[in-house]
Amino acid sequence: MISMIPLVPILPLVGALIIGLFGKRIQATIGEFATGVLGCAMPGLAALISFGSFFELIARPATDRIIVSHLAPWVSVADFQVEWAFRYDPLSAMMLMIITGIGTLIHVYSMGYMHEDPSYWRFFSYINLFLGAMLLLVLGDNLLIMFLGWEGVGLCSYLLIGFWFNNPDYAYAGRKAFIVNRIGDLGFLTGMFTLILFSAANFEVVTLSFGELQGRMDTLAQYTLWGFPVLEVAAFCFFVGAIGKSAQIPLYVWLPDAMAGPTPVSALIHAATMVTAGVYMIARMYFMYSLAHFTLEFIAIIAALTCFFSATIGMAQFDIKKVLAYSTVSQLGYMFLAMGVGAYSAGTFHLLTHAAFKAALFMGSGSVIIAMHHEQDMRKMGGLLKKMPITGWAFIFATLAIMGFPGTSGFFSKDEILEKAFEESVWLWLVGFIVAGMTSFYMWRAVFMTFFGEFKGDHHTWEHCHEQPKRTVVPIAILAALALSLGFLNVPDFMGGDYSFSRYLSPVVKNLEEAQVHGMPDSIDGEQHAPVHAEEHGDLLIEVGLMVGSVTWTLLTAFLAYYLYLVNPKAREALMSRAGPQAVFKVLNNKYYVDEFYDLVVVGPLKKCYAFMGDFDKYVVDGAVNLAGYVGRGLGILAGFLDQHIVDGAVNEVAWASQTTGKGFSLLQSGRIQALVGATLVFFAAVLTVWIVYL
Amino acid sequence: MFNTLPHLAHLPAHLVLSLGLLFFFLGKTIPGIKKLPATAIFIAMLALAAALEASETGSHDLFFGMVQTDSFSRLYNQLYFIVSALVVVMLHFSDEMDRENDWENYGLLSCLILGMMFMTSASHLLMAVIAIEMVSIPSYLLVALNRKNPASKEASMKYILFGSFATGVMLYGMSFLFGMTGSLTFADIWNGLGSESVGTPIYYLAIGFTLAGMSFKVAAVPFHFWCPDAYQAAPTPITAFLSVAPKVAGLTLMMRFFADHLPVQGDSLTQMLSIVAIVTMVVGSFAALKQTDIKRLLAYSSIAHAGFLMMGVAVLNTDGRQAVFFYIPIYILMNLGAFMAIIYLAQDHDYKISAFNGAVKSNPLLVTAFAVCTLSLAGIPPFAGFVGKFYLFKVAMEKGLYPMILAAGISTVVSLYFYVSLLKVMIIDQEARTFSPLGSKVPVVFVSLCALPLVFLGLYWVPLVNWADKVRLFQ
Repeated sequence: MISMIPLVPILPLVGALIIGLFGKRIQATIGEFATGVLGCAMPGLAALISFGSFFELIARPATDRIIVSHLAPWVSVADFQVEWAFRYDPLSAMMLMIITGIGTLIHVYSMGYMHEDPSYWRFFSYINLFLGAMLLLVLGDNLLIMFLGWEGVGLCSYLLIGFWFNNPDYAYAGRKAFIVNRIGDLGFLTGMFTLILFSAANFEVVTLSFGELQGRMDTLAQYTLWGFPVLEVAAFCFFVGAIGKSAQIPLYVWLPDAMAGPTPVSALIHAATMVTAGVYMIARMYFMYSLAHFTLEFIAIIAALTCFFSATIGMAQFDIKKVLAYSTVSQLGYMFLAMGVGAYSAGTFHLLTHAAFKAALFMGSGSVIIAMHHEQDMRKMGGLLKKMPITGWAFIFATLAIMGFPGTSGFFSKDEILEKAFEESVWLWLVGFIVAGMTSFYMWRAVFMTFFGEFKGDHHTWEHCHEQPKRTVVPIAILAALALSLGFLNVPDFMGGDYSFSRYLSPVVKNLEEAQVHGMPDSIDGEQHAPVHAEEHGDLLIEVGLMVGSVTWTLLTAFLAYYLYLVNPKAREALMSRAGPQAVFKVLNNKYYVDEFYDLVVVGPLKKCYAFMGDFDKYVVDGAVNLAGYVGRGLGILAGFLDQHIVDGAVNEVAWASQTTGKGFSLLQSGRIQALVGATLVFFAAVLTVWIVYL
Repeated sequence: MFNTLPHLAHLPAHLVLSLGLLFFFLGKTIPGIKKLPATAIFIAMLALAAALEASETGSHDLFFGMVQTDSFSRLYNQLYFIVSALVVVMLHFSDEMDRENDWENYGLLSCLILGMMFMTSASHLLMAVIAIEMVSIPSYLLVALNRKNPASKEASMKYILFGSFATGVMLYGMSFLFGMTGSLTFADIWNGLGSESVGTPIYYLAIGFTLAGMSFKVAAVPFHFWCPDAYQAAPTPITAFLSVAPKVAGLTLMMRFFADHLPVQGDSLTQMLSIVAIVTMVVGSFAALKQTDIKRLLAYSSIAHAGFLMMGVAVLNTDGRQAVFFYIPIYILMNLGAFMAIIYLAQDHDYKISAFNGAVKSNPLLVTAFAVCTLSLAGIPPFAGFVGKFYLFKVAMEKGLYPMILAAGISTVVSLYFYVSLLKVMIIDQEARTFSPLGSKVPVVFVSLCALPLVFLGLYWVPLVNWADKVRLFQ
């Protein structure tokens, strides 16, 4: 199966091509269902290969789990060598399973969700293309292929956010996502160029392959660029790329707007896969980040801020998808927090669990939205659990996971991050701890507003509201089950587990502390044990204490939501009627006015700049072109003058020939050819003169 | 007694073309043969020649150092066959000329191809002159193929006069060279010129005059004036052919002529050639700005491209030869694709740019493929034209020819303007007239088959680089 890994990205790309070229015809002749089945077939096959390969991979010894397949040379200019190569190792194997597994489920879900959309085929073509690009990003053995995928997913995200482009707001959201991502991409490129620059100075051959780069880190670490260590600069630039793609402060603004796209897109791209690309990138290049401590600190701070602010915004939203969007930004903050404190495996593990529970939440919300006839405002919902039991319970289970209820996946992954943050700094932990409570609050708030209490919409909608078909709810149920169970992959040692997930990742990703203990991170020894943990009694106490503390805190906020939104809404109304809370709520509801601030500070001046450049073009550039025209005309007049007075004699031969050779020649507009030959002579003489005089 | 047979054995493709030439000129007079399908026979002949050419190996010095066959000539010859085959397809689907003249047309083309092959193989100035004339004379006739169009005849006449003028200048320069060195073989000329004459006026005059004939074929400034008129008046498939094949043949002759120069002569020659290259690309791209006829515009674009290709010639090294060869298949695809598209979009042979307004509405696929060809001509990634230009820029950069790179950069930017305004006319402007639907699918397929490799090669060009590796040395 492992030998078939290159097919994994190719299959969805082929699917995208087929559906893109012939989908319209297939949909028109054979029908919508066939288009959907075709759209699901390729991701399904890719998922089959990914899972098959995974079991083959874990059957191998731990030292032999990195498989690089070299397919073909790509760019080969002098000493710059980049090839088409895929890297299959525990990290990419995990990502492949997330992408193809959740991807396939979401494809199946989309068959129901996109039902009766006239552009059904276009949707499946785009989303197949997205899967192909994402798989390319993950599998690429070098930065250039990763960048190819990076750009590819950006493009698909743009296409899918603006999928219903007839609505100008949606089209605007697509453009916003694209442009904001572009800013991040500049960072990614700059990072890549930095590495190329210093590789070229030190090594025979410049490559961007991860294996080679890892071995070169020691050498590169000795250099500085403008007074900063090179690796810090490169790591920082790559992180700017991640800020854009993974929606961190200050570039997170596109993600909430991206909810304009169809809900399956939000679930797949803007929750489970694409937005986690930044986390994956850091895990993939952990060897560089482990040598860049300032950047790591910066990442941790940015992550903590993002985590906190987006969670506060999430508490004050009424659009169910907006709540989930801000929750995604906040959860991404958790992942980067883990990365920032050097706990790469913890961040990656949260990526895995988050993919499951957030996809389930999004798909659940999609199901609700369809049932409510595209109503997204939670204030018009309520009591839906009776009407949609499967969706409702799946949503509740996923909410248990995201709040970190003991035993669920979020419990293990979030708890590990908080523990690692605590080891690094109490302040980082405190932020993460507070946010855990807020998460629990806003998620239960969403659950209570949507599924419990009285229905607050109109009678007609309530009558028509019903559970969705099987192809929609079964994927949600599967994901909810995963959200509950995935946590057992990485049970901490003090609870009788052995951190099996971290150990699984350890051949390719080593946490900061291990790297320092074991020297250079590239030393892969087969005897790699579980992450080194302090075994002292005091630490155990702290760990258990942290865990009990956060569980209590999240349950507390959950009950607060229960009290305010279900038991005693009057108390909430009384609270909100006071001036102070009302003002706070207004600021949060308006997302701290960040969009308005950006419009004022960035977009406005840029527009002025465009206007200036337009004028510049009109008056200066056009003027220069006109000037060139005048110069040309002047030269023409000069050549004509020379022709008339000097060259005519030289071309009399030609003239004589044309006069004597009969009627056919009279067709020549007399003089034209002489002028041409004359001009040639003048020109030629000029060139010869330049040669003789100046060379 | 000199035995010619062993020499001829190394020129199998030339023999095939010669027999084809006889066949197409004489065959028509023999009653039964006339009924045979001329197009199929011609294409089969080209395929046979290409196969023979591909099977040859080694470097051979033939006919007392007049002709040399080697990896360089064989690779270029194969390109000529490919271009010719493509142009035959275009001729077949163009309505600009009479079908009954196929026999003569193919005869002329055979002669022209033969001439180009000799231009690429010539290692002696006399052979070079004969080869250039073998290309020129059929070209004059091909421009006038459309006998009912007086403008064609006039353009052909201008072309003849201009060609005779260029040949005259070239012969004059050759007489200088012969006078100075006593030889007409390329290697002997450079040895004979030695180091003493470098920099003297007569050195520049002799080489410059000799270069005139080659520049005429390449349509390099100042020998480019014939180009717009001839291109505008000729039937469009012939324009497409002339804008590619003889130009390439002229470049190969230049490369072989300059290849044997002594190290001491290198700098002066590079400077001479880079001045020609600079002037050519700047004139070509600026003159194209104000054109209103699409064929004239493409004529100037081909002049500018000749300038770009001259960059690779001017560096006078193996990398330069590779870069030039690398660009040529790409150039063939994008130019022929663009010409084929406009043949089918034009109505009643009206090639005014304004006649193409809004063509995308009625022919979306054709215009899309045309856009790929055009953007590739402009050198926009990810199309192959960008990679080709990149390699040309790279060799110039490595040689340190910064003024030339600057000029090339300016020309690229300027040319982008007129290529894109062409696309704007077709895609954004409102439809001015109704376009009749295409009679056959072949043009769309043809242009798409030109456009697809451009996209592919733009992303993955390794095979082409490896193929081009063979022209680095004359072996």
